[in-house]
Amino acid sequence: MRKWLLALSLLLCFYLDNVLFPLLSRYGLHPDMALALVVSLGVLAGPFAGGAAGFFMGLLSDLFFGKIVGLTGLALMLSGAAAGFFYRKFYADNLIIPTAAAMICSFLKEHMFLIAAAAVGARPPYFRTLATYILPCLLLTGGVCTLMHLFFKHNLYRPLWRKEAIDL
Amino acid sequence: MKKFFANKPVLIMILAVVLLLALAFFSARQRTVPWLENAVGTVMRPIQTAAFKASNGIAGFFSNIFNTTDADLELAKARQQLAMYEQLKLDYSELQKENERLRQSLNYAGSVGDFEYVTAGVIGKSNGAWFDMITVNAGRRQGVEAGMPVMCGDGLVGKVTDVGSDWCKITSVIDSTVNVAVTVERTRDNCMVRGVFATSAAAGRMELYYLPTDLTDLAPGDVIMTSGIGGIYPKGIRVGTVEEVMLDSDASGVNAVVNPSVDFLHIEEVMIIKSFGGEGD
Repeated sequence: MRKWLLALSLLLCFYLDNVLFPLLSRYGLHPDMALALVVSLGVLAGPFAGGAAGFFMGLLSDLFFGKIVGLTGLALMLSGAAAGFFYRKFYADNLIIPTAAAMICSFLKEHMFLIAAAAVGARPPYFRTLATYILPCLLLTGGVCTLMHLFFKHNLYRPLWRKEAIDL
Repeated sequence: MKKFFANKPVLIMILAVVLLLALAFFSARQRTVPWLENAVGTVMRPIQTAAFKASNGIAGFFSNIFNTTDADLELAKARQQLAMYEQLKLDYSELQKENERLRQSLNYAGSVGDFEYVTAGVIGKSNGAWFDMITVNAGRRQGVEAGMPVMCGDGLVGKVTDVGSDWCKITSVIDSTVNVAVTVERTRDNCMVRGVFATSAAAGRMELYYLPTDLTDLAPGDVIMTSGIGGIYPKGIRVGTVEEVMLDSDASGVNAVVNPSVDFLHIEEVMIIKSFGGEGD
């Protein structure tokens, strides 16, 4: 049941990020659901679970919709693994850690994309992009991660903790 | 060191990082499709198509909810009335509408040149603001190759950059890495347009540059067409209309802002041009 819930969450986040949000959002501005999920998963279940989820979600997203294959995979995998640094170091009730981790990871991920875009010929104006895209995305992702963490804490954390092994 | 190599999760992570970096490096440079991209794309295409079509309905629903200004409300009212009259006049089914759109596209293609093309449906769009890509359901099996120009009933869409067995990715003309050689229809000036990276109202616009500013009388409303120079895009495809003129431009060299003729938010079908008469000038 918990595995199904996790699988469903992964699918839902993938769908929202890659299919629905690009149709709704005119300027590409939306919370990064996949990032919020892998960060929350990393904090609750450890770096390997977070990294693995990030790797597969990011790589699939790149294969279907991306211009540079592997970039989202790399960003999400590193985010999940980095969030796993806090695994069992703080109480699961602590919402500040996953929220802050999601915001920092979102900031770094968007900068990775900015550098990649510049490398293939785009000229994004840095400070305007920071103010109108990166920072709003970061806040949205942090907010979503807080809610997602609350949800996962109740539905996934306890069983995972009890088993003391992550079986993705 | 021995302890480090005995740590399997760390080794797996390092291998994954190396793999993803290699993929990113090669895909950014050569745009060749790795076997993985092709296999996954082929297997998942039907699911992707269904998900995209369902999402279009959801997007339409939200669009109606959030359009609340006076102009939006008036527009919505006018649209409702129009829809009612249209419904009274003709009971078009979804299939008939699609048929009409395709016919319009075919007529447009016929009017601008002798093209051999394949029609494809849009099944996905890129995520985020950094790149502007469209995924469609036609690929190598339908004769599509990388570099082929893509258009729709409204004008130029972009060019094919990645091809799978029965899907391909198109980099749209509003992507900030794309440049197109164009002509101003009225003045016959040759210049270039490129996509603009923007996360505000300027998003989805293009910049016109390399215009001979001392010899032109470019004005808002002028139609911009492909010039055919370079041979990538056929000559005479509508690209957009001039929205704002800046002839005394600064060092950026931008002479005008161009509004694309294609509505990239609502694009549903495209035509991939397999060959065109003369293959450009």
